[in-house]
Amino acid sequence: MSEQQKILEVKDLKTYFYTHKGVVKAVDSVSFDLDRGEILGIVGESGGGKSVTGFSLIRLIEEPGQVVGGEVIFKGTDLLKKPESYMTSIRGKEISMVFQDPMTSLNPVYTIGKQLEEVLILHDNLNKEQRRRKCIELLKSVGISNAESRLNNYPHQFSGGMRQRVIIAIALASNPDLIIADEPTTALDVTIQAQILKLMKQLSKETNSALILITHDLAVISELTDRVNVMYCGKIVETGYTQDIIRHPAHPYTQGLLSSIPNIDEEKKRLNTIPGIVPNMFDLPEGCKFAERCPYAQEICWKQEPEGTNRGKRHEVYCFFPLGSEDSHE
Amino acid sequence: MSNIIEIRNLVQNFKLTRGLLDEVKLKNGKFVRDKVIVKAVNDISFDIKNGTVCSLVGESGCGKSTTARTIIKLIDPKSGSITFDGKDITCFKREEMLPVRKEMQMIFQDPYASLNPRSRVVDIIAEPMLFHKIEEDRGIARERATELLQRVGIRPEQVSRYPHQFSGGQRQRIGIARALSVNPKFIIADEPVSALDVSIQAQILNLMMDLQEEFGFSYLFIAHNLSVVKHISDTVGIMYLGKIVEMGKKSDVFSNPKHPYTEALLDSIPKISGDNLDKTKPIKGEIPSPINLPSGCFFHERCPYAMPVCREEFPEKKIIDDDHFAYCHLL
Repeated sequence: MSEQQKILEVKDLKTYFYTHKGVVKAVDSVSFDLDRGEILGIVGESGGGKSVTGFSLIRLIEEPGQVVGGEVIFKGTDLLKKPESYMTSIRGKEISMVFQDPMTSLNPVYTIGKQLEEVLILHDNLNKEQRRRKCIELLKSVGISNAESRLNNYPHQFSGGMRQRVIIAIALASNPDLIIADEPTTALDVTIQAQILKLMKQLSKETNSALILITHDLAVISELTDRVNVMYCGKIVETGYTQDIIRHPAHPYTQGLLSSIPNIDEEKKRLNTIPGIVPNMFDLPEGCKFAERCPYAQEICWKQEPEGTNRGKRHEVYCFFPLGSEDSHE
Repeated sequence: MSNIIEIRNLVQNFKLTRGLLDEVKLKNGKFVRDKVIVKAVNDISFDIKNGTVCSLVGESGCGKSTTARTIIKLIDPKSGSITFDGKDITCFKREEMLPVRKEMQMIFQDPYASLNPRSRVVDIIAEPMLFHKIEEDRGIARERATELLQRVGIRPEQVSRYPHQFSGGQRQRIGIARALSVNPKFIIADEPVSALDVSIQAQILNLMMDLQEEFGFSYLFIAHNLSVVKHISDTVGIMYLGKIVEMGKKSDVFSNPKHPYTEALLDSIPKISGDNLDKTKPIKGEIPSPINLPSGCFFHERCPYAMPVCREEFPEKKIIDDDHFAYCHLL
């Protein structure tokens, strides 16, 4: 892998929230990288730290949260060392975001055209007519018909799926190198979700922008992403090519997640479950965070945090007894 | 096998405009009266057999929750009939409904909002028993409540806590225990797992299935997630704009879908195999407004097979076999 192809490198990222009840280590020593044009998934249950990871990359963490350590190297520059003004010039231009809720991420008092144009005014040198043409082109590229007349509409005149298309158009407006999409289809109906997922995959491949897709839905991950990070309690527990992980999960948590989803192509009398619940983030266990729910946990898992073990090409697992290896208990 | 529920020609709608002033509008220089009515459920008929799990599935706004709420008469139906366990309850008044509610319980979607925050969990479960006079003595009711809570996975030392001290999954377990507290014959579960994380969702689904086998009641299960529905149901009804467009045994509906909408839904599901969306073409467009329903077949605007007749006439019910039916001109 040549260095040029790498667009993002995250090293040892730590984001902590200092609340009056104690410190929450929402993201704790997370490292990963991303190639140009690649689609990376971040998956896990609520509280796993997936969204905080996404927000930390573009430094949108608010009080009492703080990025306390690590590096976010985007195209060779460590974003965590740059002043806020530099971030402002990058957000929406080189890195853009698509949020979960299409109802609240557009401004209700401005037209769609105005909100699209804003990005172009801030980040591009185009005259008014050029901007208008670009806006129409963008709306067309995300599959909105009558783009010209739709420019003068307000967000409330669009349905949820259409609004999410507009948000994607805004995210694409300045040809970003990286798009971070946080649960982009969770609020949408299944037929609309299929339309949006297809659109995002196609646009990412066409424009060669890298995409980080944050979701709790492993099926969405499997349909869309090239590689995936599985997160649990602020840590990456397994990372690798999506199809490797889906077919041969090495971490017991990944395996647990996969077998607790009802699979439409399979008949099962009962689902396999992961016993217990996610531990309290204020009071995380020492050692492996998954130990208390893990069917294979042994003494060492309670005492020591596991290091990464290589399980094949770009496939790493953080577990003392990964599945499918000689010491495993499968 | 007898039917626990028989629904015939059920209609439910909601008027959005309030009073004359709201309804009068100026059109082409003339004042006209224009009522805005959301047609949520449009003439549906189906049965639920005793001891089975029947699911209604569809996208938001298809009327599945309204159907559930109308069946348990939280809202009175506009027309049609509801027969529960052989009794026609369509016109039952509030007092007449009380004994019926003992037999028919509901589990709600949001485990945060459906439990009284000021009540101890053991009392939340004991209260329905006392109200419906299943138990006369509060002490005994509490004991039974503790047993029931233990059955759904809440430990005895936790029962005097308040709802906020429990996680989402545990609260849903409490909601299930409350529904079971009066030994119902029929439980309506409205999106009971959609607010939960996947590992917790699996625990709750297993619990619901275990309890059903143990106590032998029937479920009406409302959901939008087809994989969940396929896992839990015996029969499945697919709803679109207030109509059941196809219904049948789950094996028939999922492996031999007859309605183009069912087909489209199945094509849209992201699958763990990762190749469903690449293979299929998503249907175009979005669900039309239930205020201005389309003419003819409600699905014709999005249907890849639409013919001229689809725009004109609503298709008749076509029986495919035994319990499998669909409404489509292609059949």
